[in-house]
Amino acid sequence: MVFLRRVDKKRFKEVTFVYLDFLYNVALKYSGSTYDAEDLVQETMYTAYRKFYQLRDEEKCKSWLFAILRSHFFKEKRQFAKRPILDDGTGYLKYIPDKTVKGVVDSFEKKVTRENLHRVLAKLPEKHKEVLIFHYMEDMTYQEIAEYLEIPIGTVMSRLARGKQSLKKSLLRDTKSRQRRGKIIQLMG
Amino acid sequence: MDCKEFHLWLENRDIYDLSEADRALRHSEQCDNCKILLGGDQQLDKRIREMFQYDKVPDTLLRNVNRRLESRARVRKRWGKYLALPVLFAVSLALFLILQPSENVIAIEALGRSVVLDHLDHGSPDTAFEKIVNIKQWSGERLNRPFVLKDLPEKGFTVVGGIICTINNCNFAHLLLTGKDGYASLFVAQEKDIHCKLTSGKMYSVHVEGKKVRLWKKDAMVYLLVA
Repeated sequence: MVFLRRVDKKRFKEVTFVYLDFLYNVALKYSGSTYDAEDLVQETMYTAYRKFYQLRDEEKCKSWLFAILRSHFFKEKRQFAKRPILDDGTGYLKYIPDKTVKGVVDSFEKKVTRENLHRVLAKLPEKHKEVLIFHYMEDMTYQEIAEYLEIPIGTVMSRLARGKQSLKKSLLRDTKSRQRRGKIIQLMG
Repeated sequence: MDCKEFHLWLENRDIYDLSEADRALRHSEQCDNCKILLGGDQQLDKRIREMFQYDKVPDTLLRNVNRRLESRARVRKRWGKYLALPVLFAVSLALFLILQPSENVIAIEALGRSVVLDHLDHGSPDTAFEKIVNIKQWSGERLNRPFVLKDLPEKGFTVVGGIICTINNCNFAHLLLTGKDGYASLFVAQEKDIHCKLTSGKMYSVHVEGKKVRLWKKDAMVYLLVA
């Protein structure tokens, strides 16, 4: 008789609202758009409010909210644009255009933006995306990610290695293709 | 470590053992190309980490989340009053069904009531009770099923006499007993003739008209003591 349960709204807000930043940023990395991210967070909070009585340990609120958000994302994935999954090509080092430290840094320092990141992340498989988010955004260790996602630590390591490869390769390729397009536009201009 | 191995390590650092990192770093110190690649990769990693930093949450988000929660509360309030009555009804019905006595309990109570009425009508020496010398023999002859008086719930009873009576179309041996509190009646019948089920070894009790009836079963016979 779920509808008879009373949720303490004040307590709910105290416990969950501190993670809005985290949820929004994970949602942004998942969906790639601020609009979708906002929507995902709203859905997540709404579900969390309805199921707040299920949260036994408030210490685990962050991972509980993340699990809800992830489940919403997978459920409503079709609503987001369908994106092709990256090919399993090997290295990314060949995409570094200029093999000097300055060249390497210059090639992405100004060109690689958050938009690139969101565009590239959107194309990554979810299993790679989530470990990358926790590694880069939350600065978590392998062990912490494994506990969070409830997967073996070895799986975290291999997913992270593959995820990083795909991410770096795509970022460099994306930057390179934009540079080319930029040149063509310049020539046409 | 050669350059090829170094490239493999650089692109898959997360799955390599830490000891490989020492070998790779030693190699990069001796190889300019690999040193540049390592530096570039570290810069790229740093840049990616920066890009992963938290974006500012839109001001509208908190407001929208709050609005969403409020709308849920409103919906629940609106539906709450419509749901309350059916829920109350369903709960009452369930409780009523759960608390309803079973058919067997009803039958035991009815039997208790019948023997109490019989006891009130005939449970005194005014009724023509037969004198009993040997209960086993008397019951074998009168009830076609001999029984003995053992395991009575109270001690100190003496048998005054007995009579065969019919209660609810069932033949009972009605024994008039006398004890410290006056007269009592013991009704005995075959279990197959009565319409309720009793469990061996269990003592049941029913209160009717201020009288307490205790029922029990032994060797396919049912005993009801009204005292």
